[in-house]
Amino acid sequence: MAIDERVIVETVTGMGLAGNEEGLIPAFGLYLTNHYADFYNRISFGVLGALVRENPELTEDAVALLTEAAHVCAFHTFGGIMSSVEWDALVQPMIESREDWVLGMMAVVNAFGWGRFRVAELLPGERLVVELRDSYESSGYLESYPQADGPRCFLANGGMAGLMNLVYQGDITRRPTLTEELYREVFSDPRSFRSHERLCAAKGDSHCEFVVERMQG
Amino acid sequence: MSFHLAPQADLERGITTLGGRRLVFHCHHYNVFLQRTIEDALQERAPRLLVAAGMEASRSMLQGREGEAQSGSAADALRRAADTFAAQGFGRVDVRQLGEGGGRATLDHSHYAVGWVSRWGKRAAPGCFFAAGFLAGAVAVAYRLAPERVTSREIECVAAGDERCSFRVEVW
Repeated sequence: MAIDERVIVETVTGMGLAGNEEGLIPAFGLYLTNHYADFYNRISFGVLGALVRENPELTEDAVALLTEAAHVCAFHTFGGIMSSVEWDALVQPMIESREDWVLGMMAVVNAFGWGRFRVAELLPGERLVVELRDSYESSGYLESYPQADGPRCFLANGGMAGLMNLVYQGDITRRPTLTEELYREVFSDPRSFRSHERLCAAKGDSHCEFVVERMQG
Repeated sequence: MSFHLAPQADLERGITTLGGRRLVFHCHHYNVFLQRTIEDALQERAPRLLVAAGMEASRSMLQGREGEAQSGSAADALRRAADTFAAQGFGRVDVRQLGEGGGRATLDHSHYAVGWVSRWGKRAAPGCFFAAGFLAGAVAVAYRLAPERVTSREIECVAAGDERCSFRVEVW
């Protein structure tokens, strides 16, 4: 395999991403924050709980809202990273195939504190299965709430779909401009990818697992 | 001189912590989109959740971090909090007017304001809810106050067209 995950993780971690003289972290063409997992978990699970308590029939809609935020995150964050000079310097030289774009991005994400992702299966252009251990969403959920009756890694789940959409639907390898129009075009395509969190530590599984497939196979 | 302490990274597990709490990198697109999602869903109740979550998260981290840091005055603890805030990419906050009774803080280059404006332009009301919560948490930790006694509100915001972001912290 061309992608050397250890080199990528160690290099990204070693970049020492921290605020500049303005207290901002401009990197990968984005403004990053080294934010609090507790904050994301409280606001995400808080809004989910509020909506479901008031209208249980809105559960799917509430999950869809959080998943949409994850799609936006993946499109801009992963897309920005894969279009950046840092990517060109670190990851691009390791890339030999389109699938390496997926594996390279997964390696970068493993330096972001989200937990440890591992690609279990990648069927080019069709299917991705990813295992995640120490997910900040599932572990954070279990710190504050009883065991869940369904998956809770909304960000990671939507992020995996977003990654496949960027690589196989939006063709990030051609460096398109990451506009709202492109986002809508990519994610509204009937053959675009969606992810399902098949296993989740928040509901008692040993780890989290995501299966990403096209909406219409 | 910076009082910032570097986070601890466990590369094998993909975990980064500071003060015993997990940190995760995210960009402005996600941060402001998620905030907007919550504001749209909860309407007038959203600020309470967003500020409370900011306070809870920052207070947990800062309490743990103060245990790791060299001891010092409450003003030192506030300064450490401000340095951490900047190192984490949220902007430069001036906490010199904060004290045991609360006070005012100003924030330059707020991540949330910059991110909001770059994505959607101006908004009708202040939008740096996380920063407001962070400041309440910082005052509570620095002066060892029960969190219920501290509230914080943004009174000027770049995202709402003001020249800078400023906050009023009150201790009850």
